[in-house]
Amino acid sequence: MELVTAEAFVRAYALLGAGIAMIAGLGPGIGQGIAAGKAAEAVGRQPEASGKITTTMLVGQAMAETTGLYALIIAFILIFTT
Amino acid sequence: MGNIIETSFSFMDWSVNLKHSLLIMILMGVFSWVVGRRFKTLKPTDKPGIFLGLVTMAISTLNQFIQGYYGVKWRKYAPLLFTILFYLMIANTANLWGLATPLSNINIALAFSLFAILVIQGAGLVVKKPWQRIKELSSPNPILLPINLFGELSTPTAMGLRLFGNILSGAVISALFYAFFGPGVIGNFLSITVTTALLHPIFTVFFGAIQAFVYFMLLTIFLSMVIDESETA
Repeated sequence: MELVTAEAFVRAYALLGAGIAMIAGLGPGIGQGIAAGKAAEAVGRQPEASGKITTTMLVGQAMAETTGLYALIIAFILIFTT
Repeated sequence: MGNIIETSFSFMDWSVNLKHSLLIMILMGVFSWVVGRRFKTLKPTDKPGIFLGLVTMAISTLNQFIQGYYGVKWRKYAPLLFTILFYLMIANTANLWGLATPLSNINIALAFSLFAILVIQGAGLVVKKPWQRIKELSSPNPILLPINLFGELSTPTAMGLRLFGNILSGAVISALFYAFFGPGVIGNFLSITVTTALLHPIFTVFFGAIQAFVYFMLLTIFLSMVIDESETA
């Protein structure tokens, strides 16, 4: 007697793996929070440079997002190709 | 007969992202041509209208930005970088005009990676001589040459994948919300108020524009790094 078909088994583990992959979202969240906090400190110290600080912060945050996006791509691959 | 029709209309099988990408490129070309014509016929004593004034302001701001990285030779690189920024700005916000976002197709994103690799390495090989480039890549120790090569290839790849991940994640989240609210009067109302009014400005306009600017800026920085070292060395 077969409780679960092989396809359903593979699919279930792929979805579970996609969920586990997204734990990587922790890292960019912490990193972007640190960047935003430091930018707030910098604006408090030098309010006249707020434009440059905001641009630098946004670019740095977009860079820090990369690892999270890799995890997201892997999760998408696991969801849509199995 | 059927064969001829199939081959002559084989572009019908192209993905919708590629078709819309080509459409955006054609529109960009027409737009640039029209603007160029108007600048050519503009006399130095004339007062430019508000449209030409805005275009002038944008181009001079970008030229100043690029001058900061490239020094005296900035004129060679500014058109390429500006074209990339212009295309990405339009392509990433193409959702707003009912087009498919080209960068949500991984093939186009990888084409952007390949483009970055070719531009950076090609500029390195042209500006420096190939032998000097090899020496530089094996700079601390020749054993490190494969690792350096890997590093040279991985950063542009990451640039393309970053665009793909950002655009696709925004599109998927928007699509999930549209599907969640479903059809019907209340569903349509929530779709318009929540998804269209709140999520599209964030995911399409804000993230799209930021990612376009980030790609442009990283290409600028990596290209200037490859080129600048030859002037100091």
